[in-house]
Amino acid sequence: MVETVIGKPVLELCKVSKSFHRRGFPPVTAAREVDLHVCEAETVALVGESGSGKSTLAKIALGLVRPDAGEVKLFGKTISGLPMGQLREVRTAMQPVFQDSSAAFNPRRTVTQLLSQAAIRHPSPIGTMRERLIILLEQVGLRPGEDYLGRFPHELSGGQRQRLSIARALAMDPPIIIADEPLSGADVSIRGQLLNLMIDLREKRKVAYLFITHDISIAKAFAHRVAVMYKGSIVERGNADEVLANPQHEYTKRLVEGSLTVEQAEKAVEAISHKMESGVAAS
Amino acid sequence: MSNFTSRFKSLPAGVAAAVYVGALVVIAIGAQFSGVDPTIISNDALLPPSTSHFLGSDELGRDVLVGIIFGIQISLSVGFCAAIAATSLGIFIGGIAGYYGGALDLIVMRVTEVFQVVPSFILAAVIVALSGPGLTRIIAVIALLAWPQAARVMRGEVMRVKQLEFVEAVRCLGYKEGYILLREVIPNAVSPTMAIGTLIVGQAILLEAALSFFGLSNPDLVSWGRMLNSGQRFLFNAWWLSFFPGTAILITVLAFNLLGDSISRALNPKGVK
Repeated sequence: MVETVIGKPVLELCKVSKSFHRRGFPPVTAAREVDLHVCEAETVALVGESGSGKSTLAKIALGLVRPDAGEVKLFGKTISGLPMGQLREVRTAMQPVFQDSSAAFNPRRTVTQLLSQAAIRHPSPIGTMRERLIILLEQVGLRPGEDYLGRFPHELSGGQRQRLSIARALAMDPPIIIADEPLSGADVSIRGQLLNLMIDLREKRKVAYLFITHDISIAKAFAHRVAVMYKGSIVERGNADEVLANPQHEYTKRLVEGSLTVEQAEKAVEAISHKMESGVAAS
Repeated sequence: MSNFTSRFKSLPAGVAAAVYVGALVVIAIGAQFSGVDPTIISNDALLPPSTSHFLGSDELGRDVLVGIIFGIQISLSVGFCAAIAATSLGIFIGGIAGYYGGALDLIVMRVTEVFQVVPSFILAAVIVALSGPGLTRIIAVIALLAWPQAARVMRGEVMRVKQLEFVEAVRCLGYKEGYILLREVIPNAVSPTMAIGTLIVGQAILLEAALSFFGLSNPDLVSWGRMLNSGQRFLFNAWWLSFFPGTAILITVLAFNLLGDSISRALNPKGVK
């Protein structure tokens, strides 16, 4: 398991453990001594099926859930265990993008209010607030930006809302974005566009991503490195191409076998449409 | 919000109740500017309903209809003030308990349970009897007895809203917990408590009437409960003295209950059939 280190680590999780206890139920271990790091401008995909503890790990990284054991480090400084006031200041370097874009915005606020709520926390000397918001909107492909300013989140489509999530994250100019299944809520046709947007931002703004997904083909297309999570532990990790081309762990093999590559998917679609056409011709 | 309006309009009982309450408010304000004195006495004592006194007159020759019209003001102001006080208290306490949870939440919930098992009318009667009558006192007592209902509903709703993702997104922007509770969580959690508040208006009107009926109110004020109190002595020879103020209380309390029910049903997108 050789990993290429690209730059300085932005986010590090060191032997992080978390289990949930509920009266009358056996404790559930969501994370068991997980080690994970994301370097500058690097994308790490955390892959695993639902219930494997990926989302809990994302919340631990964001400081929304406190780990039972282990440390979370941001630029080498331990942030887990910081008092609330200090955590509040440092956590803004990490911005989340969530799966369910319909729950990601206060339904009573307009796009202007939602974005300026973020932008005001990260002052920039350039331009008025309105100009800044328009630039943010256009950066994520919501053009022309003016048209979106007065709208409410429920007036946008799922894909547009997910772009708005990304715009809100970008308003903070974060070194790292933690994206928890950001494409699962979107249509298949929208997924490609969102993925391209995220790749674009990685290149232009040098954003690092901790990208959580159950879809191994997305991990393959987008990530530099992957970590495969199974029942709260990371069972396999390494460069994306290597791990996915030559999986070592049983679970990774099953994941890779279960997913289609882009070429396979295209072939399957072709075969189906071919069948339908011949079916139409025969009748 | 426009969804709320259209759903509310599809509930005839709610619309009728809203119209009735609106009419009461207009009549109560109009009565203040009419120049009529409802306390003026005349020789037409204990007359049954007729063309000169539509709803009859009482033992001092005062018109029952005029009394009922002027009584609206007391009933509504007690109802609204008590409900606003109880709901604000409930939103504040329930919001904090639901948001911060833990030991605080446990204590607050036990306190609300204590209030819910105490017979509220007897407690109100005792407090008013000990501290003396007065409109503000009655309002304060009713608010003190009614806030736990609002607090429990508020707490439940805050617990639902606080785990939505937008709250976490705002937290990641570095905002303080107090800001998140006030600006993000509470505005999205107050609606069901507003419906409870409307129900509290009805309860407060009823409680004020009951206290007045037992003579625990300022005898100089014209109120529906006060009219019932003086009418009970003539129940067998002047039925109109009890019947009409009683009907006014019944319809008004019913209207607020229907209004509260309709608001909570209209707030729930799945509730209207």
